[in-house]
Amino acid sequence: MEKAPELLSSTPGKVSLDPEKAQEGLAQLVLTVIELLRELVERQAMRRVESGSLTDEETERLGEALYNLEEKMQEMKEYFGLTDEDLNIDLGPLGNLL
Amino acid sequence: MGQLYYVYGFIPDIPERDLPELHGIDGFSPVEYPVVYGLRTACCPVPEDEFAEDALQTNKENAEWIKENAFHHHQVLNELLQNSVVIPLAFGTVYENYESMKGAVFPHKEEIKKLFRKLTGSEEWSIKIYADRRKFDDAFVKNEDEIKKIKEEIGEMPRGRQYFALKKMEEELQKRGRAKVSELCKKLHESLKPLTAEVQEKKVWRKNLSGRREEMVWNGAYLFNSHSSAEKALEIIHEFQDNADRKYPGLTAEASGPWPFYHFAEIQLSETNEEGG
Repeated sequence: MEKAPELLSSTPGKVSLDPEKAQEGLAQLVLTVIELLRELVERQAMRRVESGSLTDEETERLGEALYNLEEKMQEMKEYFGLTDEDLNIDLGPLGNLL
Repeated sequence: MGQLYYVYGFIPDIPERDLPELHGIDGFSPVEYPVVYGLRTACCPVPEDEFAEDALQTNKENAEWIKENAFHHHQVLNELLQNSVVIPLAFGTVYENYESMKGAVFPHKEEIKKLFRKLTGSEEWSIKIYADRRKFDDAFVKNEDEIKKIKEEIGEMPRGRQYFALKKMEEELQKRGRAKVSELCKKLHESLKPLTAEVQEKKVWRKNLSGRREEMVWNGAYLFNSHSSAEKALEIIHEFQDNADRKYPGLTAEASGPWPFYHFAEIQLSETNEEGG
């Protein structure tokens, strides 16, 4: 996947609210939400695998799906020129989002 | 417009010729050093409309104002430190006039003199350690034989199971990495302690405060017994850094000082217009 031309040059952990850079901020925000959901799904899956409630075949399929999802997410981050830290929004006293 | 009395801190009653010529907060009034109960106070006049209790409270919510004035406060204390021991007061310590300042100093005069005796010759330093987690964890993985073996086992699993096994391993590695960082920091801290009269372990700063991409993993204030103790400490920190560069890349130890005694000379003055001490 090609990289988006100079789409993002944001400060890590901060979503840009500059009206002229709305597209950049939006891409960052959407990917942040997707990453948050992906991590929640991953944690839930880990719990189920560790509790032994899945068969070997189910575990294999779930792991394969999560692998693909993680790869896709990596591609999206590269396309928009974002790093892991860009998606980790600082929530002040609550700590980081991810 | 009325004027108030801003106090930076206290120095011993040294000869006038040794007192630095400095400008006060307004940029043109000189910093004055009146002798009060045998000690000199470093102070300057400040405008009432900016430093009276209510105005000061409002200004303290203005980051730019704080940055500019707190930096000035620190600069004055730092200049004073070049010639003598300094007991700093908190930024924003203001009195209505000379008499009210004198009244606030009176109950603490012996305590301040005692602090002069305790702190003369010693130096306050700040030591912070930062960790570039990715760099540290990568090197940590390569050096651990047990982890190499687990990785080989994971490599033989089918792809789906590999995913969970890798995640589990990453989690475990992070835990071990954190424990190792903590062990290394504590070790450095313990080796510095014999050179100090007092130490304070401080909270590590979050990234938005440190302004660094790396994570702060250690933050301490050290009161070294003498200049030579501080020099010895710097050698130890240098050795720590050399060792980290060889075995645990990603760790950076930084020492800064000597600082005014912000951590080891706490004086709580009463009757201030603002929070004293």
